[in-house]
Amino acid sequence: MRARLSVLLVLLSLTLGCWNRLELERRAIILGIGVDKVGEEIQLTAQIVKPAAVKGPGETGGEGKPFWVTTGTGRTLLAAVKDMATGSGRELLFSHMRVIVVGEDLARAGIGPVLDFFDRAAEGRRRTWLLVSKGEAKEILETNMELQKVSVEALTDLLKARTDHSEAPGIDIQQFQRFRSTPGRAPVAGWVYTAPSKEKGGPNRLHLRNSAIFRADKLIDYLDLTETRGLLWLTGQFKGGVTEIPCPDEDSKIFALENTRSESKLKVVKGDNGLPKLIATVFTEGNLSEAPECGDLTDPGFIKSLEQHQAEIIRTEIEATLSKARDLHADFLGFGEMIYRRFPMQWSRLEPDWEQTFPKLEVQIEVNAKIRRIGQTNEPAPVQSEIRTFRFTHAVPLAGPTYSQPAYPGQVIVPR
Amino acid sequence: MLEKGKISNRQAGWLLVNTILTTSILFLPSMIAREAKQDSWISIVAITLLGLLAALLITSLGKRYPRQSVIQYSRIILGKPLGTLVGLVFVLFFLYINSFVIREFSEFVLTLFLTKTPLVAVTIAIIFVSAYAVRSGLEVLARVNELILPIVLLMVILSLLLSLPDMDVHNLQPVLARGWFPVIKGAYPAAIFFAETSVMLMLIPFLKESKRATSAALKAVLVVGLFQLLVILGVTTQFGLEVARIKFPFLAMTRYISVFDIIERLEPTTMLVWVMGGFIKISVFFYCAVLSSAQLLNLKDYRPLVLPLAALLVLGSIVLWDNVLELSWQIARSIIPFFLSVEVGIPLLLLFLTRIRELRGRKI
Repeated sequence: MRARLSVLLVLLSLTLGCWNRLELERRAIILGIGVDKVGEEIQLTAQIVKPAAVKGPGETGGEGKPFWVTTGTGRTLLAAVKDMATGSGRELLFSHMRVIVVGEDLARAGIGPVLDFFDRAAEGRRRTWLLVSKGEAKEILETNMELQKVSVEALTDLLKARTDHSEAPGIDIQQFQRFRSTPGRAPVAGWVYTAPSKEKGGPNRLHLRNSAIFRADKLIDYLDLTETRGLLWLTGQFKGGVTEIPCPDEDSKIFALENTRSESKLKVVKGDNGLPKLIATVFTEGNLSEAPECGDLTDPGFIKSLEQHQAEIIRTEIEATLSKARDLHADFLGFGEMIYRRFPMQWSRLEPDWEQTFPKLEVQIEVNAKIRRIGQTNEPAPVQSEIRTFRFTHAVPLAGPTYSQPAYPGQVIVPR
Repeated sequence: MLEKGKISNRQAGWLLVNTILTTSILFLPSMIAREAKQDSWISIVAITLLGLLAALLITSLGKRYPRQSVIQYSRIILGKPLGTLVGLVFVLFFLYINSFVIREFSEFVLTLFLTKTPLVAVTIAIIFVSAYAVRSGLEVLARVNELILPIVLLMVILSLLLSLPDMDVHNLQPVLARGWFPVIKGAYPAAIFFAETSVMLMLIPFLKESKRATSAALKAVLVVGLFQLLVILGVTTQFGLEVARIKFPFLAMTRYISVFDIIERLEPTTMLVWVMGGFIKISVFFYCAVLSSAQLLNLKDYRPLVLPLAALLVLGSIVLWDNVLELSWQIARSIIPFFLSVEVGIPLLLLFLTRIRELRGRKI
């Protein structure tokens, strides 16, 4: 009897399903959403995959776009979601959402409500990328990319590859919210825009470049590429990218350096003007990948001078960012946070008036740039005729002012 | 004797760990962080010390009556009418705290996973399983726990390890910037969790070595304190001040996990910890409620009480609180003095009276 009952129970358990189960093909899987402000209403744009149209590599055909972009409007986000749901006729599934693109207008009005909605939702996940789009977010989601089937896929690919080019910060909801709640830190987010492709009449392309600057949850301005690089240098997010160093002799000749690694450190000390002083130390190393005919690459002294040059360039970039931050009175570099963490007592005095005080801070920047490798060749291949004609002149050392003097203390200058 | 089984001291310790750990991992970090902010971990250290004291108190009382539970010996200490009253308080306490845990359990499942399932369905499901475990007796419960606890602890460790890349120790700074008061205030709601060793008041008579109950209880509190400390450090270094805003930081942490884009969204680990640990916790309190009422009523067997009390618990867990806010408000504020006076206050009083009696006995 007992055995039979247990068999029955086991069998019974197989017949049970989930209370609110919903088969996969009855669901609309949302990969990314865009939120815009249209008039007084919120316009929600979702990119929904069409499973039937996403073909594997090698398969051809499929009708039209593999994704479907649909919109819904409402005064609140939930109303917009419901509006969208009635237009799609399926249960919307948000748990696979990877990107939230916020349109510029909405971002200026404040993105707090949007983040709150997704923070609160049962399926909300804080590792969802947050981007601000120039113009409408809808446009971003509607853009087709060549290599990826779905444009959200393109966005996430761009975000993942950002460490390759370091042109925008990669910020997800978690980081953004943490910035917002940390004293003395203005949030930033990646900036995305579309631009016509270079070839004539080509379709628009997505670009993830620059960064959006917030005060609390409101967009106030954005950083251009140089300033964004400064931001990434200072916050230790510059993981890879190119730094162009002009030849010491001739500005039109440019070395290209691939940065492979960078670190940054912020230190707070007492400043002269009674305010704290910040010392930012940036370290980076990289390899030379393109060299013009300039200098002797086999000479460690010359490499040293190039390193110094690079450090100077990085410093200029950081200074551009700094002056922007001062102009905006927005502490997106986290100086306040550093003071709060190290000297909480002092911070409690500074905090009420921080946005006014912040630009007066003294900031000392120290950059240490290293060139580790120069690639497979030593010097670039010379032009044949030049060799014949100028063989002797070439042997004369290119005694540019930059490396005839010691590039660093204790440098041995080899007479040629 | 109502319960014929015996459990080893180690099994009792494991039961305690699971009883205290499960709910505290999910609910405590946010509750503590509301007051203590980034110093939550100091609160945990402080409250673990207090938890050790409570465990010492509870077991040294229980050890004086190694063959009896608190329901029985409170009658000896206080006399029949008063002792019965104290017994009744304990019965009500076990029923109330269990309704509480069951409601917490269901609310968690409902908020995050089965959003459209009715409350009563989840509640009945968990009580049904627990009732079965309780009917099978303490020995069975202890052995099931020996299977479950390692899984629970492993899941916690796994989640923390996989979250390591997202942690930033700077979030712990500044330390004690606002002094000790917020730290103490943050530790306050944690007290009722760490005083849950009071279930030992019911379990001591069934230990193989009742005399050495103290070390089992102390070890259990230490293990809970350690894990709680690790979890608090994990979520604070990851979320910073956001911990106070997020209701279930541990869940948010497991959701945030992403290792090489391959291992993602590990919230099933949280679900596993919660359902398995919650089952043990509910069963332990259920067992205490059933056993204490049987002893209060001088029954020969506690089994007939299991189903009626199960029904009462379903009812209680649903009607006692209107919404999840009332629940969390109560646990963080109003209920604490009452729980503490039962968990620690009454044992302290009983121990005090026993000591006086012992001293007098020696004099005479």
